[in-house]
Amino acid sequence: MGNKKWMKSSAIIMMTVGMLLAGCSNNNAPQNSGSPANDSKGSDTQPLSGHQIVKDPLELKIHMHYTDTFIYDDNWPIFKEAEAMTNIKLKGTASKASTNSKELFNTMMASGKIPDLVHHQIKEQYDSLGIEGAFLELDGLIEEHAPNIKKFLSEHPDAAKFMKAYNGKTYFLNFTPDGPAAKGWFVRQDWLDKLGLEQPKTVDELHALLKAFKEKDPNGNGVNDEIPYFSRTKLDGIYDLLIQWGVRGGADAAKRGFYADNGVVKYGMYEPGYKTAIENIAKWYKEGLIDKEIFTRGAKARDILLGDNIGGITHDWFASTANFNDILATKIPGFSFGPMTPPANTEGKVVEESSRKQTHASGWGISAATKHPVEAIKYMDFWFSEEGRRLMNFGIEGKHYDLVDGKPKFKKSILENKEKTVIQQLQEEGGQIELAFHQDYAYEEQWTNATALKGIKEYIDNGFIMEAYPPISYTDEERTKFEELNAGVLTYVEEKLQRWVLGVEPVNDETFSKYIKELEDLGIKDLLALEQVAYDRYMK
Amino acid sequence: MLLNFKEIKTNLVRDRYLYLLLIPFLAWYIIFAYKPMYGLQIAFKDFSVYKGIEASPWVGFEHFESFFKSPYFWRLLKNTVLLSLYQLLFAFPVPIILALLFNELKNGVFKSTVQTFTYLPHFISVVVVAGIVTNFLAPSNGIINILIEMMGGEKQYFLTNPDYFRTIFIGSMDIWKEAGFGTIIYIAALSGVNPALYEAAVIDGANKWKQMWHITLPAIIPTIAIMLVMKVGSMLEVGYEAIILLYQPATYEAADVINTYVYRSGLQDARYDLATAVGLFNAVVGFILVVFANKMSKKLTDTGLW
Repeated sequence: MGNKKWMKSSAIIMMTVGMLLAGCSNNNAPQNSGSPANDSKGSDTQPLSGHQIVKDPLELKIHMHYTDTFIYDDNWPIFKEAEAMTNIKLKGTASKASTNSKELFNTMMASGKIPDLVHHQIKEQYDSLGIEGAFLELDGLIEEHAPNIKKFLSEHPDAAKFMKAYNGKTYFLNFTPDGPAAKGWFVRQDWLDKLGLEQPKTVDELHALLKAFKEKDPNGNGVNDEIPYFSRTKLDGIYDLLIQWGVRGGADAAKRGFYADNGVVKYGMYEPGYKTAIENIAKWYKEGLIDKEIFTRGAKARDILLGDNIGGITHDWFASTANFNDILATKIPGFSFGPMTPPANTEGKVVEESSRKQTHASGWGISAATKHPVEAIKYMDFWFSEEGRRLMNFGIEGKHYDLVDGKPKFKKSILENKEKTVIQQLQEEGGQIELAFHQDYAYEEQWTNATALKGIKEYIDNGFIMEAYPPISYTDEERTKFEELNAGVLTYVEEKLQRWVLGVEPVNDETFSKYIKELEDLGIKDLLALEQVAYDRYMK
Repeated sequence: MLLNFKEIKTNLVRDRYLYLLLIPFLAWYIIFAYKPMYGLQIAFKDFSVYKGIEASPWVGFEHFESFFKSPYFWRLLKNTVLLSLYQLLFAFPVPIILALLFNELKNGVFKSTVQTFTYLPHFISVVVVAGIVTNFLAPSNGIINILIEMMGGEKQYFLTNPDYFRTIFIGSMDIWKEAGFGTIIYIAALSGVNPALYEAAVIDGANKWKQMWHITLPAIIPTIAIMLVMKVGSMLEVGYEAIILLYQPATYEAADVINTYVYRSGLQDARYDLATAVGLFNAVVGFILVVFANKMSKKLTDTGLW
C-alpha cells in the first residue's frame, strides 16, 4: 500500500507540473499553427522538395521516455538533421527528471494531454489503449500517405503481422531490429588444443568434454578448480541445455516453454522428453560439470569465471562473449574463447534455438487528439525512407560516417573511441533510438569482433538457427487469463526444475508423472488451448 | 450549544496563528492520504488509464477472486504471515535490546562509534545488501562456507534451501540492515528517564539488572507498545523487493509471498487494478490486526494509539 500511495501522490504532482507545462506551451501553439495558415496560399503553389513534408516549419509534440533511460531531447543533432529535411520539428513533452518510463507513460495517459506522437515500450498496452480510442488507427493513413512504410510492410509480412493489434488493425509501428543471430556456444579453444580434444559433435561427446575440463586440469594450475559449463543468466543456463535432448521452448524468456510443432502449440516442459533432459542435466550438475553456483552467480559470472581462467563452456550472445578475447588477451596467455558448433542433439539435429527477435515491443503511434495526422504519418514515413533509415542507423554523414562506395562507413574516431561504444555515441545524438525504423545490421557488423562474426556466419550459413515462436498478441481477456494460468504453471515448473537439478528430489517415473499431473491440475491444458486460439489468429 | 460556538470562535480568533500553522498538515492529509482513497475503487473496476477512474467499468470482486483463486493462495498467505510473525518475534526485539545495551555504555567514544556502525547498514540499498548476502553465502568461496569448511563441516548452497530462507532474509534485511537504525527511537525514549529514579534505586540497593528491569524497561514500555502496534498494522507488507532479490524457484516454498506472486503474474504491465485489490486486502487485514493489537496493548500496558 505504501508504494501505491506514493505512486498516486507523485502522479498528482506530475499532473500538476504537466498542467503548468501545458499552460506554458499553449502560449506558443498559436505561433506555430498560425504561420502555415497565413502562408497557405504560397505553399499550395510551390511544390515540396525532397523529403519536405510541409512548406512551413511545423512543430509536433512527442512523448518519448523508455527503459527509464532514453528521453526525447530537443537538441539531438540527428533529429535536427531530420527537421532540416522534413521541415517538421519534434518537441519532447516527457519530463527529463522522471526515471520511471512506465509510470510516466501512465501518468501522461491519465492526464488526458496526449501529444501528437506517442512512443511506448509495451506494444500490447498501447494497442488496447488504441482500441479504447486513445490512438489513431494507422492503416488508412499508411495506405494513403506513407509509401515507404507500405513498401516495408509488404516486404516484411512478419513485421506487418506483428504490428497489428488483435482486432487486425494497426495502431502502433514497431522498431524492427536486424541481424538473425543471438546466442551461440563458446568453448575455450586453447584448452581443447592443450588436451588434444576436438569440438564435441554429439551430446555424449559434450559430456565427455565437460568431464575432461573438470578432471584434466586444462588451466594447468594444479588445482581442480575448473567450472566446465557456466552461465550468467541463472535459470536460462539450464533452459539453454534442454534443446540438446530435443526439448523445445526454453530459449525465449518472454514465452517460456511455448513452441509450435506444425501449427500445434506445445509446451516443452510438459512433453515426455523433458524427463530424459532434466534427468541428465541433474546428473551433470551432480558430477560438477555444471557450475554449482549457476543459480546465484548472476550477471557477472562470465567476467569472473573467464577472468579467473576457470570457465570452460558457455552459451551466450556472440558479440559480447567474443569480446573477452580482446579483454583477456594480455591477462591469460593463449586465451582463446571461440564459437563452437552446437553438438547434435539426441535426435541427431544440430540446432540453435535462440534467435534475435525480428520485432520489438518499442515503437510509436499517433494520438487520436492530434490536429496533424497526415503530417505525423508522413514524418513516421520519413524514417523508413532510405535517407531516414540511414540517418537513424548511422548518424550524420561527415560527422559519424562517410560514404564509401555508396555504403556508410563509420569514421575512425567513432570506431576507436575508447570511452564510449558506437551505439552509445549514436544514442547520445538521437541515433539508434527505438522508434519505428528498420535497423541495418551493417551498422553493428562494422564494430563486431572478428571471432563473433565468424561464429555468426557459421550459425547462419549452416542454418542452425531455428524458427522462433511468433510474438502473438492477445485480447485483453485472453491476456488476463494467460497471466493467471501462466504464473501458476511457470512457478511450479521452475520450482521443480531447480529442485531436480539441485538433487533435492530425484527424477524418476513416479515424481515425473506426479509433476505432469500437477501441471494438469494447474490448468496447462487450458493454457495451451488459449494459446492455440491466439496463435491461429496470429498465423491467419 | 451557542455558548460552545462562542467559545470556539474566541479560541479561533485568539489562537489564529496556531491554527494557521495547522493548515499545511491538514492539507497534506487531505491531498495525500484521503483524496487517494477515492482511487481505491479501481480495485473493483477494470481500470484503464485512458478512460480514467470514472469511466472504467465495474467488475465487482474479479480482481480479488483472481488472486484468491490462485492455486498458490494458501501457500502465499502462509508464507506472508509466517515471515511477518518471525519478523515480529526475532527482528522486533533486537533494536530494544541494542538500545538497552547502548544505554549502559559509559565510554562515550566507544558508544558513538558502535552506534554509527550499527546505523550504517540502513543506508545501503537492498540491492547491495542482497549482493553481499549472496557473496557471503556462495557455496564455493563465500566466507560463511569457508568458515564452515575450516571447522570441518560441509559446504551448503544456502540460498537454494527453503529451510534457511526465513533466517537469511530476516537476519540480513531486518536485523543486520535495520536494527541499528531502529534503536534511535528507543534511545530517545531512554534519554527521558529521570536520573533521580536510578539514584533512589541505588540507595535502595538495586543492582544494574534490577535497575533495568524496574526502571528502564517500564519507562520505555509505552514506546515499545506503540511501535509494536504500528508494526502489526503493516504485517502483510513484507519487503517483497528484497525477497525478489534473494529468492529462487527452489525456495518458493518458504519465500513466495502474495506480493512477489502478483509481481510475477504480470504487474509490470500496469495492472493497477489488481495491485490495488491486493493492497486493499493487505490494508484491511492490517487494519483488523491494528485494532486488535491496540486493544491488547491498552489492556496490558495502558498505552495505545487511540
